[in-house]
Amino acid sequence: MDDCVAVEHVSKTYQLGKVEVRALDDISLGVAAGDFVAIAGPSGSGKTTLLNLIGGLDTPTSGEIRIDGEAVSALSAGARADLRARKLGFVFQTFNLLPVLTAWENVEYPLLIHRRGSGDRRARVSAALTQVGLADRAYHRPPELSGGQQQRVAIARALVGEPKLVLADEPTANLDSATGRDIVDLMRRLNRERGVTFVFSTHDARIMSAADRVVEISDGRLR
Amino acid sequence: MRYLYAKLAVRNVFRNRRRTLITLAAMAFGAAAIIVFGGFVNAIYFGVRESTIRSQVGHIQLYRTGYSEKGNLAPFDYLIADYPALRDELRRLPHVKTVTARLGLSGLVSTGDTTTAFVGAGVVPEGEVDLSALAIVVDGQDLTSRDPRGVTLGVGLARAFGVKPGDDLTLLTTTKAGAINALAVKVRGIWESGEKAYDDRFLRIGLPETQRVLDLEAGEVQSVVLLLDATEHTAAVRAAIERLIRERGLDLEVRTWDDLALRYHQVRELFGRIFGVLTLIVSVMVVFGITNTMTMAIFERTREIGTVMALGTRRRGVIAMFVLEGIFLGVLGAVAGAVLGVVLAKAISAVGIQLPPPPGSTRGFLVQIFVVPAVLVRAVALSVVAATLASLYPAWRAARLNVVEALRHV
Repeated sequence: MDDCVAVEHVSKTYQLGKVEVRALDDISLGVAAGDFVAIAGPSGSGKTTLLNLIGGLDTPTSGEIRIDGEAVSALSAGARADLRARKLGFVFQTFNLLPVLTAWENVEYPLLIHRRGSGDRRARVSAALTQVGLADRAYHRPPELSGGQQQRVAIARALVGEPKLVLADEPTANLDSATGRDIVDLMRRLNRERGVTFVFSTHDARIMSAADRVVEISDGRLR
Repeated sequence: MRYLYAKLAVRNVFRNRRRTLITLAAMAFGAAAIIVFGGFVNAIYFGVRESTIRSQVGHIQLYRTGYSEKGNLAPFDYLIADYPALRDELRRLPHVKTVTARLGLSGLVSTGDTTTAFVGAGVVPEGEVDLSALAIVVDGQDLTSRDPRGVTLGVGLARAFGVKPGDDLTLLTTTKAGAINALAVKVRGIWESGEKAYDDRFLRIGLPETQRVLDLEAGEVQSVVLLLDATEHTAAVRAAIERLIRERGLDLEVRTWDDLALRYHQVRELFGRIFGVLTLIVSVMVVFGITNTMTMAIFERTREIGTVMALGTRRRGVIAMFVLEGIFLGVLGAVAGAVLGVVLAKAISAVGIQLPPPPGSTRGFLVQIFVVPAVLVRAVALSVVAATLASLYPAWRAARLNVVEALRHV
């Protein structure tokens, strides 16, 4: 199998006070390289938890997750950070750009973690900003950009390090529907042109229609 | 990478400007307090040192070997025999400005009606001019060799007797051989040193009269006092004198102001401790200020911390970001404090604030504040080190945040 993501019998329980909450219950899921997959479900269904586990931000209570063949849950926190830096890109619902950095500097951030040379960085950041159509906004800081523009910068940041997989948690939830549509189209185009695998969560039916595949989740189980 | 963290630190410091300014103001006032108080203390050290040197002790004193230890009990057993020859030798040394000699005596002084104890010094009047900086003649005139029978009294002693310049007194003292001897003298002047114990008991008289009343030879003195052109040359001149003593085989011992100025050392000890306490208070203030600022910053930026961790920043990267921010705050506070401290020091010295007399003194003094490089370095280093240490714990807490929870933080 050359699955980009392999989720094998994964469960996740949280302790909320004295109550044990089962956020995910025996989930198994494979995502092939180059896929454009939507995870759909109402809020509280476990979409974000699943994305966090795939992204190595959290570890499963049981089961195993492999990213590009690498088992994630066995890794230490530092090794998971390195894995994220090497293989993953993240897009967040609230954009999460660093407000003190310009668009250019935000996109450059992952390359600095990779310790790329400055010439290489310049070429890549420039290319990534051009791809998301924001070359002319490179020196603006996030507060000077619209929500859609901020999310485009975030997508450029997620893609600049050429990750295997981009994880996007409700990337359109804070945008109006037309802008949200644009963002999904942009992700779709980058997926096709560059072969990057995308896994994103949404509860918007119109966004789901753009996906190759929709995985529905409710009450922590796949349907 | 380090460049990125430094850039983030600098920009984040200026993000919440009002809070940063308040923190910086607190740090700057702390550092300025150290600079001003340190400068004040150093001015006092200098003042006490120079006034001690110039009011009596001189830079260097010479005695017959053994005088320092046993001279009090048997002063006449430890006399320098040939002062004029020694004086001529000492005057040839570089940096030596004045060479003079003294002979102590004590006994009773009487107006005829009233009698009291006195402590006196037989001095060479012309030699004492530069050594009487604080003994200011307030009535009459100073001693002179042209008036061998003249004496000058401390203002307290004169007041107790109710004498004024021109009045006659009789001194009773014990000669070298142990006989009682009397000397009729005339009050020439009254001086005030500001030192109460000294003003109440002390009188000065010419050296030749003193030698005569004690029944000593003309060349015999107890101590030879040297004044130099600058206090900084003391060690060099001391070395030169010790060389001279070895070469000539002289039976002399050498003491410098540093050995003799007991009060100077007491003052240094006392103020050194007060300064230490102030430094501690300021350090604690800086540590709390920075910890508070950093803790608030981390709380406000929790989601950003989650974001950079999600992007693959390791924990030590997060620590570096916040510690650099603390260091940057510390440097800014230190620079602001140094500027403020120097300006305040200069301003206070220029305005001239009068302080009341210190204990044991009758004279107030003008506040002087030196700008001392060592104190500046201390204030700056303290601010930076305290800020760095204070940012460690908040930075460590930031790095320990759970990524998922941090990302969810609103």
